[in-house]
Amino acid sequence: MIRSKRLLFLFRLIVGGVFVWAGILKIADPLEFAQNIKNYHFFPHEMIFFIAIVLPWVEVLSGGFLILGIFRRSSALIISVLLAVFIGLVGLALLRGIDTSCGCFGSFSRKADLSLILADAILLFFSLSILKGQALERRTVPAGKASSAA
Amino acid sequence: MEVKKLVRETGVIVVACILLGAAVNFSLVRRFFAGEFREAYIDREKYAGLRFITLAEAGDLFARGLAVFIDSRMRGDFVSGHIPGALSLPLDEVKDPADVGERLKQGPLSLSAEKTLVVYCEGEDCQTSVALAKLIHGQGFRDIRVLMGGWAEWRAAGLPVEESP
Repeated sequence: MIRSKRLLFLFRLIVGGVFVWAGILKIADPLEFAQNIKNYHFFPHEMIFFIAIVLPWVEVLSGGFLILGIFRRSSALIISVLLAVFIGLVGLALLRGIDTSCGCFGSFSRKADLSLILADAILLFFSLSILKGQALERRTVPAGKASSAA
Repeated sequence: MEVKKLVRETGVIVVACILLGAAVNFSLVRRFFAGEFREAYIDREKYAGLRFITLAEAGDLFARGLAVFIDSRMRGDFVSGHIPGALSLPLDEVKDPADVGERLKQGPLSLSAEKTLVVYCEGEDCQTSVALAKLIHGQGFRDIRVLMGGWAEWRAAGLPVEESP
């Protein structure tokens, strides 16, 4: 487990930055994003519309909060869940032979392939490290206070 | 206690995002509930002239020779069978959108921007026809129709088919 605060701060900047950037590009063109989700052939047509207008904001807010250090654990949790879902979706698309753009960065999107799964897995490792690191910090701080009081 | 806080904070973020998304995209939400975006997520204002047609409309255009059909499926699928006279423009072979315009305008068909084009792919679920139609629209064509049921519906209806040598 990673305990270095500097390293965890760097992870927050990287993961948060990627999510804010990805979210802003999708907010700029929600219909394009909806069409990208449709290409995965996974969600019902009507549901896609609501995902496309809400998900980019989830990315921007949780990414921004992660950078700023507000709601750090919940932001890391949301991002971890999203990354796990993205990995699953791309994996499923590959298994079903669907050749599509990932739709992750608006018009700058890349192909949904194994390298994307790897990139998402690295980000997932970072976000889980933030989540675990934060949980550890919360558990050790009261203990420290207690020992200093004694 | 900690889990409760985590759930509460997560809920706050999600609810805030739902409200933000709905507020910022209010006009899109209204258009969605008015029945728009049922076939594909295409902005009719941005892609004026691009519309979705049924097999009956496509069959009529074909019979009267009023449209050029464009097949966006992969080359191998086109060779196995396609709508007679259709032009093969596989989306996966398009590297530059300008090439699409050049092929349509300066190719053997020398199509004018006013020509009616019907784009199709494999079936109802495929999306390459929509993506190709958007690219063609970007090249100045203004009467582009996407055959919703695609090749599968055309073939199942027993309409004329052609095989490439």
